Amino acid sequence: MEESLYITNKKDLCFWEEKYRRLYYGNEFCSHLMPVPGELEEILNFAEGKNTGFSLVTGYAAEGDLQKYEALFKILEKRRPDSEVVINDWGILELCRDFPMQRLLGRLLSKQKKCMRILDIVGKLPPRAARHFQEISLNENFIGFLMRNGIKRVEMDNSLQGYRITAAGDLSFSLYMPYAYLTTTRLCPSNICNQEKGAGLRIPLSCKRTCRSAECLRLYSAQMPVDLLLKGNTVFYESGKVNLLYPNRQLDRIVFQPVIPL
Amino acid sequence: MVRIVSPITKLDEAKPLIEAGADELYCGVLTEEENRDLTNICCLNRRPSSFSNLRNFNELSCLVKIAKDSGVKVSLTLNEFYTKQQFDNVKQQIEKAVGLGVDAIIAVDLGVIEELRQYRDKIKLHIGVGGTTFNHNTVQFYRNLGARRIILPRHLSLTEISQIRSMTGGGEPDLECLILNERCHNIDGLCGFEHGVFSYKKTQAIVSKYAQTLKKIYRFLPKWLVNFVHVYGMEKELACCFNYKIREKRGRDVFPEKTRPRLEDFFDADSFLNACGACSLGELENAGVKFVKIVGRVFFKDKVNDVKFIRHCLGLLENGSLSPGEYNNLAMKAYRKYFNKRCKRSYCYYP
Repeated sequence: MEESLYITNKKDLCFWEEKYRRLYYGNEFCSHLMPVPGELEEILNFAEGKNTGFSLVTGYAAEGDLQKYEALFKILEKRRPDSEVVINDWGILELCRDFPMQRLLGRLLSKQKKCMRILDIVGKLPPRAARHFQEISLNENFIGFLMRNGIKRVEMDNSLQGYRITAAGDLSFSLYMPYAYLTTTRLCPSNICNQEKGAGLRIPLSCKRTCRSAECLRLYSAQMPVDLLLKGNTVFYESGKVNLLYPNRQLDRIVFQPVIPL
Repeated sequence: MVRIVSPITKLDEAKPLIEAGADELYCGVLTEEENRDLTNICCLNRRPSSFSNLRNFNELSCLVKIAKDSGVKVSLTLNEFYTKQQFDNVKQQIEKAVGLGVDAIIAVDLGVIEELRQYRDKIKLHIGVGGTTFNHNTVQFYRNLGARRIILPRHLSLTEISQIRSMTGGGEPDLECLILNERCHNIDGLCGFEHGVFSYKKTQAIVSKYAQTLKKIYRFLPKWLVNFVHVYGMEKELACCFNYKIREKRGRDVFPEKTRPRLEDFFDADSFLNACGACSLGELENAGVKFVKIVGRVFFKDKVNDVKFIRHCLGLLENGSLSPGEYNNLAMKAYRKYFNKRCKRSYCYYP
C-alpha cells in the first residue's frame, strides 16, 4: 500500500516523513486557497528534493478561476509532466486535456454515499438497500467513460458505514484519511460574519483566508451519530479506521491528511 | 421571454399548473416495486419519498398526454448518481420514458448521460443542478456529451451566469436557473447529506401509508400551519438544516460572540424554504437564461400558486415600461400577496 501526504498549506510540509511516496498539494474546496505559481514552484522544489511523486489537487472552479488553473498546469507541464492532477470539476478535465499530466477522479466527483446518518439505518435496511449505501456510484457506463478519458484512479473517502469495491474494471483507488468531507459551499460560513445580519448568504467576492488561521468548529446535533467539523466552507467528519468491508487489491494508496485540508 | 419550468408530483396538478402558466413540467417516478425492493432512500431521483413522485408509469403516460394536448413539455428526473445494482432500473426507466414520448431526461450521472446517447433523436438530455456547472468549460464538456440544456447550480452570481453565457455563445445548450424555493446553502451535487433517512423510520412509514388522505387534508389547513409543518419536517428530513450547536472552539476567534448569530443564517430552514429570485428575472433574461425552474417536488407545496406568482412577475417585465426599482417593488408586493408574508432579504436567491 502506497502512502501519500496531502496538505493544502506549505507550512504543513513539516508533516513530511520518509515513508511517503507522493505529495498531494492544492485544494479541493476553495479556489481562493489554491497555490499561486510561485508557491507551486516552491512545493515542486521540495518534492524534487525528496525524489517523490507529485499530485496537484484541484477543486471546483468558477469562471474567473480557470486562468489560475491554466497557469498552474503550464508550470506542471514544464517542470513535472509526470505528475498527477486530481480532477474535481469536469470543466477542469476539459482544461487539462491539452496537458500531459495523468488525471485522477477526485472525491468530489466519485460520488460515494457518506452521510453518517446512514449508520442509524444501515442495519435495518433490506440487504440490497444496505449494499446500495456501501457501493461507490460507479456503474459500467461511468467506468467506460473514465477509461476512455485516461482516468485510471479514483479517490474516495473512508465513509463510516463501510464500503466495497466491486467490478470496477482496471481502476485503482486511493483512500483519504482521517478526514472525510461531507459537504461544501460557496456561501462560506467563515465569510458571513463579515456580512450584515439578515443580508442573506452571498458568494464572497474576496477572501481574507480567515479559515487558515482558525481551528475548526465542532458541530453537534442529537440527530447525528457523530460530530461534524466545520472549517472554512466545508464540513468534514473524522474516520480514522479503514472501513473497507472486503479486502481488495485495487485499493492501493492511502492519502493521509495530517490536518483538515483547508 | 423566459419560460417557466414547474414541478409536479401528482396527476391532478397537471391541468391547474398548465392553466396557471407553466411552460414545462418535471417529475420523477418511484414505483411500489422499487420502493419495496430498495426502499425510498435508494430512489432513482433526488426526492426519496413517495410523496414527491408519481407512483407509476401509467401516471406518467397520462401526464404526457395532458401536457402534449396543451403544448407543454415534460421532463423526467433521473438526477442521482447510480451504483451498478441500480443501473438496470435506470435503463428501464429511460426506455419507458422514451416509449411514452417524454421530452427530456434530467441527468447528472455520466453513466446515464452515456446511455442516453443511443436515444439522442428521441429524447433530450438536460443536465441537472447536480451536474455542478460552474464555468464555460463544463458547459463545453456537457455539450460534447449531447446536452441540450444545463440547469445551473444555485451557487452562481448573476455576473458569473452572464460570463458563462457570453463565453459559450448563444445556442445550445440552453441555460436554466432556479427561481423559487429551497435555496440549499450546500452545493447540490457535491453534498453528502443523506435525505430521506427520517422518512424511512417507522412513524414516517405509517404517514406514508396514509399519504393520499393526508394530501387531501393538507388542502384545508391554514397556510401558517402548512408552513410550520413544512419547516419542522424539512429540519428533520434534510439534516443540513438541523439546528447545530457549537461544541468547542479553539484557536483564534474568527466568530466573535456578536457575530456568532450570523452563523444561524447558515442553518436557517425558513430562508432555505422560502427563497425567491423573482427580483432577478430581468437580469437572468438579459444574461441569456431561457428557462427558470421552480424547485419543490413536495406534495404540500402549493405549486399552482408558485407558478402564478412567477407568471405575474414575468407579466410585469413584459410591460417593459418599469424601471428596475419599480419592478422590484411590485415583485415584492406580489410576493406578499401570493405567499401571505413579507419578502425578506435573506430569502434572496441572487443577493
